[in-house]
Amino acid sequence: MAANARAISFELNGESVAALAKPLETLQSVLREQLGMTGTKAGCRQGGCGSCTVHVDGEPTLSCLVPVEHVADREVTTIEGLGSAEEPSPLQAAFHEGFATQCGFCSPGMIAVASALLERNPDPTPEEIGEALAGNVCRCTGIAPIIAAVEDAAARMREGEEVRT
Amino acid sequence: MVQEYVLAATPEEAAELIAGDPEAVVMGGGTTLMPKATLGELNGRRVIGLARAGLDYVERNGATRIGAMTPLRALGEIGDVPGLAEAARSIGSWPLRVSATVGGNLLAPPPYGDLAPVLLALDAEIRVAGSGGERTAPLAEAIEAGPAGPGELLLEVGIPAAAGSVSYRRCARRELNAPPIVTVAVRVWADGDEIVEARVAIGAVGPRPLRVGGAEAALSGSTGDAGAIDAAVAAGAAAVEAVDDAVASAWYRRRMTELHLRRAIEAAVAAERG
Repeated sequence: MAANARAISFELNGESVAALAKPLETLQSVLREQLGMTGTKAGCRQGGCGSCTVHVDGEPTLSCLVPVEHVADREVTTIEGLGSAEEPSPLQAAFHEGFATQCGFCSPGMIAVASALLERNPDPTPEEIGEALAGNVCRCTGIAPIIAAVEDAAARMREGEEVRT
Repeated sequence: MVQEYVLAATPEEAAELIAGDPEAVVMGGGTTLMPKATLGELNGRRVIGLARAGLDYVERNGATRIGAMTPLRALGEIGDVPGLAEAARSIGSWPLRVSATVGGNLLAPPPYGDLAPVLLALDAEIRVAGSGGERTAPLAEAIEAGPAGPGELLLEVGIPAAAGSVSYRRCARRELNAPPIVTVAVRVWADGDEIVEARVAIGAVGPRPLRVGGAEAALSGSTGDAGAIDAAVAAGAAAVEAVDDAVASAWYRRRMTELHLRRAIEAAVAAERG
């Protein structure tokens, strides 16, 4: 590791982590190569495909465009922090059941943006979902099942709220 | 590998670092430079970062002052500066707008820079720090030479309280998340039927955004009649230096400039008449 490498600490999926990063090393690279969070995909590495989207302090962020220095002392959430195979989030369940995932490469980024959308707008229209997901590319599904899955997840989450209250 | 990434902690420190090393690369949100870093194009370079320099703010006091590091995402939330939120939200995608900044958008080469036309139409000025201290300049003048040169730091964009009605139009091959073919911003203010003054700005079509004085003169003092609009559109089309690129041909850019300029003028005049 070069002399200019720096130790960066941040919160990842609720736990404190540290990484030794080269100058301008991307958050994406640190997540995948050092911290084992391979749910975050490395697609175009140019900010054009959305597959690397994670949350930084709750905002959907392209992790290939963010130097890891910028997330020091901030909160990062990846797809692994949103749910698991055993306990999927409503979005993960709706994507799985609604065939919104085919090859799966775009799904973590799609779900990162969609979950940020549903936190702000629990009942979005298909147009609002499409606008939110405009930076996320999918080459398998034709997008329509993805938009339907987000609507489905939104309905499940609203129902869950009603059951809880 | 990048030689060093230095994050300035204050605007003053950032200005000093930049003035002291004009060869250094200055990085804001990183949306245009991080892909270069990843490809190795910044290997061996020293990079000065502004992300922690205290330039992320929006201050309202009649006028609006926007720090150069304010993300486009935050601009999209400013509801009462006509055209500004609409222009900010037309750029890229939500996650991109979280990183992309006002300053970066003004300094990035075409086809980036969709904010410039609306800022020109709003008579924005910029504040820049350099080795000789700070200066302010109307954006329209600053764009001619480049908003900030080597050794200089773009600090802030200021927008005076704006009279009149604004129309912003952005033409791209897809409605969302696509590079622009042309962006147009028009502001008119009227006294009764007469248009007292007008601003006409065009971006993305040529090498730099520009205000079209001839179009503004054609509208000023008119009633926004068909003859005045025809003259303004002709002046706009004559002023642009349309470029050929992968997004559109120069011919198509000129046609779209005429079309969207006409629609923007008509919309601004209609809005001003209420």
